[in-house]
Amino acid sequence: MTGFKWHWPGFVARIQTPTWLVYLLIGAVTACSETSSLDSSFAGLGDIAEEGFRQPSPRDGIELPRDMGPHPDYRIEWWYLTANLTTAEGTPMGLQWTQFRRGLQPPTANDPGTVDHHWPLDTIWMSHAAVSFDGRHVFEERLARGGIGQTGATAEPFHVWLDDWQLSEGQNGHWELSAGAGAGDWHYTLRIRPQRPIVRHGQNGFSAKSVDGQGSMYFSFVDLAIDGTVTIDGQTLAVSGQGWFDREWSSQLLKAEEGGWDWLALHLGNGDKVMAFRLGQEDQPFRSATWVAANGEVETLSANQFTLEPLHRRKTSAGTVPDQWRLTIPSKNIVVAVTVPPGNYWNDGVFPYWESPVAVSGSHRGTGYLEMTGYHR
Amino acid sequence: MSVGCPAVSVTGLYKSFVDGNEQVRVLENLTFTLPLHHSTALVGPSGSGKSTLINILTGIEPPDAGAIRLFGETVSHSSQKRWSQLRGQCIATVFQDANLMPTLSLANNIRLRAQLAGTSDANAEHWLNLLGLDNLGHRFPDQVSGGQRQRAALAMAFAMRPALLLADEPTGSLDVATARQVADALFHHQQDTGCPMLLSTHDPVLAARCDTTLSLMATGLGDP
Amino acid sequence: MTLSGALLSHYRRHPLQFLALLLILLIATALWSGVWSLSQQARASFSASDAALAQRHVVLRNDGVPVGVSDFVRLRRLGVCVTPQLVVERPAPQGRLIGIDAFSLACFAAQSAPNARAHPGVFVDIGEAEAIAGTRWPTRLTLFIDQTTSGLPSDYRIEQQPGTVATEQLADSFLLNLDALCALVLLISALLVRSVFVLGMTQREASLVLLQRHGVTAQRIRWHLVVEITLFALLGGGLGLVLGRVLARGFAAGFDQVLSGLFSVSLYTQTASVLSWLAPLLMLVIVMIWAVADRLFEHQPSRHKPAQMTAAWLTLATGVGVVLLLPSLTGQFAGIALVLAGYGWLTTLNLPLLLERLARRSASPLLSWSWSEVSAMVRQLALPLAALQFAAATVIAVHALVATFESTFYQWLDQRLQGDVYVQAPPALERQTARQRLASLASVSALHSVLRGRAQSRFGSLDVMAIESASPLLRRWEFLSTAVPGDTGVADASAGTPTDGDTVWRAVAAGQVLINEQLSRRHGLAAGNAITLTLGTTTMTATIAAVYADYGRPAGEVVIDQALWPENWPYQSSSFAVRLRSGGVESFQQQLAQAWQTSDVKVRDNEAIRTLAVRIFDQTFALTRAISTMTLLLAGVALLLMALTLFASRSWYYQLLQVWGLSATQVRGWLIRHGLLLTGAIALIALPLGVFLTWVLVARINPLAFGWSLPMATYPGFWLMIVALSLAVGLVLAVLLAPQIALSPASIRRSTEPHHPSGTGREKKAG
Repeated sequence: MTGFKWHWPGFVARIQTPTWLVYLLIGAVTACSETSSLDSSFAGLGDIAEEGFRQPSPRDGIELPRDMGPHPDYRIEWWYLTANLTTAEGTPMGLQWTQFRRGLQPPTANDPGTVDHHWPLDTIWMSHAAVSFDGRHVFEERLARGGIGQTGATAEPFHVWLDDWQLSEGQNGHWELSAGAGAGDWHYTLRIRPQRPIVRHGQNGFSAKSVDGQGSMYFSFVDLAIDGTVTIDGQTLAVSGQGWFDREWSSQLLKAEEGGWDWLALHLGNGDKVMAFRLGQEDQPFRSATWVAANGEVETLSANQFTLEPLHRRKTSAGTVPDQWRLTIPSKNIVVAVTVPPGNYWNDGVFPYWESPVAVSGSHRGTGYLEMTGYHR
Repeated sequence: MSVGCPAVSVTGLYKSFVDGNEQVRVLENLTFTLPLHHSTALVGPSGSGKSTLINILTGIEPPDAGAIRLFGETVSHSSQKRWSQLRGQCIATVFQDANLMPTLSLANNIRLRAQLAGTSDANAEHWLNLLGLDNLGHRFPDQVSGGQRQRAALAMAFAMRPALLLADEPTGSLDVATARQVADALFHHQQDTGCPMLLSTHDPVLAARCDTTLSLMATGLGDP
Repeated sequence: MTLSGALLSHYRRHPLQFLALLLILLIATALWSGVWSLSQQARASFSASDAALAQRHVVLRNDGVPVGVSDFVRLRRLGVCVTPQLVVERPAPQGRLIGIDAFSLACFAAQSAPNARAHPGVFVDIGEAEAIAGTRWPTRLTLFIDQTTSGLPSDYRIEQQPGTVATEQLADSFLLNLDALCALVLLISALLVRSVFVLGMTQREASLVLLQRHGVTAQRIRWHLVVEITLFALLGGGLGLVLGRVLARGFAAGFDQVLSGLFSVSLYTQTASVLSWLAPLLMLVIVMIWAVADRLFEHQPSRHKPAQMTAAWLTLATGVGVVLLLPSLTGQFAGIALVLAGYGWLTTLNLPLLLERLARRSASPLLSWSWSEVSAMVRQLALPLAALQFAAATVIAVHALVATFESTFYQWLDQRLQGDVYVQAPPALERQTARQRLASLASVSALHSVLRGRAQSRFGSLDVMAIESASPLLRRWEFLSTAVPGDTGVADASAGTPTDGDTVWRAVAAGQVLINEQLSRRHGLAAGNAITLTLGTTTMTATIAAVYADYGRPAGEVVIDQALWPENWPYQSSSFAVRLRSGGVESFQQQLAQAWQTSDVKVRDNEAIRTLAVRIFDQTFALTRAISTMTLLLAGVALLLMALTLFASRSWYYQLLQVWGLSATQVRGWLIRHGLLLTGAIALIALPLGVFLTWVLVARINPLAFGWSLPMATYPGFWLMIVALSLAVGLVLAVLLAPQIALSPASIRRSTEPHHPSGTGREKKAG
């Protein structure tokens, strides 16, 4: 998952950003949001009732294939893939694809449907694609309004698309993903094969995001076998490796003061998988983790069952970010350093965040992905 | 205009100016006559009122008090219209400089003056020849010397056949030789026509050539 | 006393001259910098909108059906970079609204997204625009495409946005117009500055010579004078700049409406940068130094009159040649500048000569003096008089252009807006049925159906308008040229000859077509030629029966009879022009709603359309008119100020006449006559120049800039007004000068002292 979604409101708060897009988005949100005040909707996870949108709860449960599709009753959700791949020569490559949905107003009963002159603005979709390779990091962002067919998602068949980018279920239950920056620039086409059943995070898929019980519905495919081609720098490379796929939805938005978000998903050499996140202030962050054993055993770890601390920071053009983390899970004998390879991994979109592949060393070796928000200045 | 009367008769003339806060008396109880056929020199130091007197005698400024008679006609209280007539037809005035229209040739200046005086036979060449300006009639004032210019001004004055000629420092800006030519012309004309002339001058030689002298003191007291 | 003090003491003795110089500089700078600032803002606005709409290529469906949301979605899903724009034509005062989809703009990244601040309230989200438009106002959806995108399906095609090129040209010519006005104001300012400065130099000649005798080098004096004129420019110019800003702001509102009305560009109000202040000031200083340079660096200008005369004639001839031969806007404006310069020069050289000839020929010496005195005045006031002449000619030309345009345009509007109302056909009803029901209404006296579409031709795509050629509502059309035998039976293909409309319409009914002037001019098509059109899948070749004037927009258009409209070719719009028999528009609307069984009846009042169109064009020319009038005002004021200061050297001769017996009233009479003669002559001489300028604007610049020409018309009534205005200036001049000619002891004393500064008023003859 990604903290990015928690941060989505953040870009709305950054109204000084003089981009046309943000101007319009503010206008749109102001005009269309059921909640009269934007501030109140971001004021706190627990305080506000997202009027009209459903709140996630442990009772909801997670069901497939239903929950691969969209949840318009919830305000926000995303489909999120990270992949740690290698080329035929063995050079590591990181790859990301994410699609977000942001409801501006809850669905109404009398939806007119798609009409050839109608341009509704009820939902904004956003899709991100990035490739990290050989010290380089390329990123592309797409946006679109929902409701006209330009973008959307369906559970059966599984299909998530925006413009010509799409993740769809192909033959044999494989998924196919294609995205990129358009002809002549970089793009990728991947075949994705889930290797294990889904992992439900937290309590039956309800993942707490604060001590007072707010949270989201969250499940993952933690073990994906991936192969395909990536075209970058004028060459087309055959790649293969493993990936991680998150589905998460909620109606709650991050407390403005909770700012930072650090999330990582690791593939350990012994087949174990770990997801851990830190949310909020440096001194008192909310922490949670999921440990998945190679045999499929799943354990949700609370704050006192693991540690996650920055070890080293890196100065970048857009701020200082932790580029090395120390993760310990005493009960699993895990004491590892999670290190970002050299480079600059900002996803410089409407609102920027850090998204980088990582290498794991220490008690275990492995690879994974790190996402951080709240560090960009 | 009665024949036999003096050309000019001035009685008890007063004129003062306000200069700042001060009242400057220029002419005070001035009484004199200019006889017919006579030339009179008007002398006095600078600021004694020579130009003022000429201005009063041409109606350009009114006196504060006193009576002025020209050829027996009391003009002290005459209208501007009457004064215009007098200036146009009877009184010729010659200044130290700038007596000519620069845009007209010498001959045309003379014709213009004659036209304004109502003199029909404006034979400009005649007057120019008379003043030694032969063949210069087509020239413009800036194409002749200062002396020639001043003689042309005299030709203009003569051409209107004046009854009275008032000359205010007519030779003031000329060198001695030229001044003498101009003065000769003036006195010849005076003698030939008998036209009474009041000649304001600083030059004692010139003044001495006049029949009489009217001397203005700095105090403003006139000569009896 | 320092050298500067000695030099500047001149202005202490002549405070009026100081004020005049300052005032002229101030007004000139204000006007110039005002216009300049506006044109800069317009330029910035245009380039801002250029950047915003750089993706000027649009996607069209090959089947002629207007694009819709599904087309947008289909293309986006194929990875084609397209973005929609929904234009909502709202009537005033809200005006045009443009809906965009900001989400799909990102792929046009090469051209930065439009800046929200530059277009407050004009752009909204496309969804909001659609909601606002509802069914109340007509909308137009356009899909812009990034031309570099590949993969467009074969049932779509890319085309330049209709009218884009012409809009650019229109904008360019609009800016060029402003620039030309700027240049004119600058030229006039330079003339005026020069005249004031030259006066000062002349008056100070004696003291300058004296200073040189006292050992001050000419170099030093020159430097002081340069510094002096620069200080003047900075002082007067600085104040003028502030005033210019105020002026520009005053104009901005109307100007903004022009821009948005004509070019869909909103005036981009920049924050005043240091540069935007410095540039006009610097320009002013340069112009001032240029204006006085020859007097500064050449103490006694050796002017050779015959050489000057030749040069002036050459300048004029070159200007006329350029105007006649160079088919470019810049060339036209350069030519105009040369013509102005040559004509003005010749006027100031020849008018005094003419007056002197009159002086020589006059039998009366007084009359002779009078002519020669005016001649002296003309020489003295040559520069401000030339400025007045230019301004008068410009005002005459601009007036003629605007008046011609207005009358032609209104006439054209009347001809085009036949009937009382205009009704959009209901989409749900079959067209013939709709027509029959409409025709059966009691309130309808006559009606005429119009179909619109876009045809292909070898000249690109053209607007097609299909009409019912038998309709009585078309009888008032006039044609620029026709190839149809008139009632006389003689083929008349000469341009500008209106022919009996009926024969043309009969030809159209028989299958001939009409084209608009733009199309005719652009591609050299004349009446009698053939044109091949592709309407959907049908290709047809038809004879052009006539060319008609079309002032609405720059696009090419073809008019055909509805019988030629292919059965299967969908139309872009279908409407009816209706002449009402009785009753108001509202009752008609109610009847129609009933007849068509829809509440969605779009009735447009032709009178309202006319008003809107008239207003837009009014605004366009209001600015030009205002600026040219202000230039005339500037020239008039400058002339008065100059005359006031210069007349000191001539007033003595009017006094001398009084010494010689003319009454004050008589001399005042002469002065009035001279004032009237001076400005009246200048105005009369400006008339031919004004007519020439009119011709250049109408017959040369307009076709180049807009694609259509206007009939050349002159307005003697307006000339009379200009002459009267000039005479009024002359009268005011005389009234202002009158106190200076009052005969007074002081003036006698001043003037009759030798070496007084009065000029001779005559040029020394060479040799």
